[in-house]
Amino acid sequence: MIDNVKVSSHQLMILVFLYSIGTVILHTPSLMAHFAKQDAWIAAIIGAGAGILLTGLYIKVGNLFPSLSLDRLNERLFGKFIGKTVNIFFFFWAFVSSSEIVFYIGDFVATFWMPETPSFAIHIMFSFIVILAVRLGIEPISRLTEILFLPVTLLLVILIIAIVPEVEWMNIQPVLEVGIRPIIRAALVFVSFFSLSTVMFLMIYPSLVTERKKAAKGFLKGTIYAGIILVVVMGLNILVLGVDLTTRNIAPSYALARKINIGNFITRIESFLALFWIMTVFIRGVVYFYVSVVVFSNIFEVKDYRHLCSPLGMIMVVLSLILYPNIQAAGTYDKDIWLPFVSIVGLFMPLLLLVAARIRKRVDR
Amino acid sequence: MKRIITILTVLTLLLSLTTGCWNRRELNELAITLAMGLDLTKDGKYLVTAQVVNPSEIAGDKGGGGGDSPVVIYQEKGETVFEAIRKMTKESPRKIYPSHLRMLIIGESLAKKGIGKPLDLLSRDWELRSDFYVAVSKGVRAEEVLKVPTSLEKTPANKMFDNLEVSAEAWSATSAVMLDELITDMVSPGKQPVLTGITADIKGDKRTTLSKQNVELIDTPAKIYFNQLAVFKKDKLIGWLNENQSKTYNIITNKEVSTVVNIPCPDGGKAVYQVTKSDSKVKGKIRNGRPEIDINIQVEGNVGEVECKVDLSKQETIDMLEKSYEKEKKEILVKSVKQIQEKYKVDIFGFGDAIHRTDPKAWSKLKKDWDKNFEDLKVNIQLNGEIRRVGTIGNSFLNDIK
Repeated sequence: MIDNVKVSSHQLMILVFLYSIGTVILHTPSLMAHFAKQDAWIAAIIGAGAGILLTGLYIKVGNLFPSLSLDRLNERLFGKFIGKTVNIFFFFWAFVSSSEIVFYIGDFVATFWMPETPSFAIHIMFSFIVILAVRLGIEPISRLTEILFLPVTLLLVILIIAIVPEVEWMNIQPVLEVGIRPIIRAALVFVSFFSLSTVMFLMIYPSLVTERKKAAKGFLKGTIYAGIILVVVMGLNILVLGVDLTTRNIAPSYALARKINIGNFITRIESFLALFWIMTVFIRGVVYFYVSVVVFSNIFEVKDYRHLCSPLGMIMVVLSLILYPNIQAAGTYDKDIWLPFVSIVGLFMPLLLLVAARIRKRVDR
Repeated sequence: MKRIITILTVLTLLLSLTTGCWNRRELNELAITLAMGLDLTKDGKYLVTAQVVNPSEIAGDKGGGGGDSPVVIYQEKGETVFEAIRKMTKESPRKIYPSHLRMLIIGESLAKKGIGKPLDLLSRDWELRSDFYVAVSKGVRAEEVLKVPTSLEKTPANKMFDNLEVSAEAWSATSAVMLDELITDMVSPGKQPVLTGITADIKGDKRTTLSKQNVELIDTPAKIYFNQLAVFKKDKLIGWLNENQSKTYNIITNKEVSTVVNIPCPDGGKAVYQVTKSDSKVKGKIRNGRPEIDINIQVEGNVGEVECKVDLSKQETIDMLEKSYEKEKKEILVKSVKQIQEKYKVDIFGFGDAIHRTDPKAWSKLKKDWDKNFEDLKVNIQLNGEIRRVGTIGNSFLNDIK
């Protein structure tokens, strides 16, 4: 790897924070309310807790060989052949997911802002900056996150504070009506989007960070902050919109922002608030795409991953256009397929790595 | 040099991307619709009426424009609402732009047949926000309401919007319901929707009264005003609440902001209790296997008017007036709830939701035929009224007129 760049612990924290908020904040509340009704916020708390545990697991896996990124680790521990096979799967997953992000942006813009604009125009423009960012490398990306951190937090705080007057406590009653099973199902949805995919950060942590110990803390902190924000937003969705509207809306958090009305003066600011969503989704897209490009170049032992940015980027745009025919197909994918898919890379792969490491150690002894 | 050329090329390319969007629409291409009316025609189609602002007429107070009407009406029939709206371009030089919709008026005949179907478009379309009020035209067609010119507020839609807000706040017998709330109520098994009624009263020749001449007169011959509340069963209109029932609905559902109540004095005459704060808590319970509702209402207010001889300087008089208010109001509440239970047999108060909140298990059994359960539901009302102030004078001068 010629990349000698380093990411500071603070930058990693922000990167994880922005990444984790990403698509989750807009689309998952609807899916979670679908399963857990008014108890979706409990599911979010459980999910956030599970997310923190998973982050602990990732940190543990990362610490096995601090100088290796995840794909190198796969090759080292599983052997070259199996390792490469696993990496191909890993690449495939990351790459499809990055196209999915592009699709989400395109669909959102087309549904709420520019219904008559051909979606490929939005896809191309969004992908263009994603590719540009990844070409520049992880260091500029992490510096960018530091710039984005302030506006994103500011907009989030505005959203949360401004919507509090609309809260209707009756909406979450009765608590625990649906029973445990739907809550667990909703929590799984939350985990699958919120934390299982943060396994990606094993490509950055610990091989590209400056201080490993502090970076681990940053990783954890980023997850915790994002978890808190998401639980609060999930709760507000139910409290303000009610179960019915949360489930019915394609993007409930956007509908939430529409509800803001302070003294008939500060109203209709949802497009402005959606900016933070665009920023966080951009970070998510960048991380997915960065990981897929780097993994791809490592599989084929390409010296510099930057050469692959433009060709893979073009494929990403095309893939994003043909990935789903409509948002319903995306919904089915999110509901039924995403969870097992992401579990393979997000749960089984790290666990297997831990097991493999233990066996290797014993054999070596 | 090479670098500069590259940068310039990239910038030029970016420029071509950022010129705007495919579907940009300038202000002069929009027909900004502030109010919309939905009616049913004789052959079962929708008649959509759009009240579109004429921007040059309402711009500024410079007296600009040639004295045209501030709004213009476009109407079209269609088997679906969307079809009718798009068809309007046959007549309208601009495409209907409903983002700033303030009032949606639904004709009574359509409301009786069901409002669910036509409302889908309004919640689905991306150009619409859900922050407009919905009302049912009582006794007249929605189109007639939208054709009345108004004074004070030049655009009738704004008049209706402000009118409804003011009236819901100061008199509390109308109900300002937005689309989201309406939809939630329609699908909820434990609460049925209620919409405010709106009526147009048109005297004399329509040709002149519905013209600009209407607003030139001090006592305008054509008026629109809010009146009564429409009771719905799911999405179908089944009846109208009178004023007392409407106020009861607002108090129990915690929508009352302020109102005035006449209370009798002990030795004849009347006093007025001015409500400044009203807070109701509805609790559902299962007692002896039967659902019951406890309503606890806390009211604060002032003595607003005294038209009888009482000694306001004494604490006892204030207590007496409080008691008298509580008695008077409670009677009305109990009576109105009973009437609604017996006459309409639909749960507009959300008692079902209250039981759902406290006892979800019992609710899952009751929910199936809740209307029947609602009919003989026991409702206990607790009312506590406090008097905080008596206005700027103590005892009335009436006491000293001998």
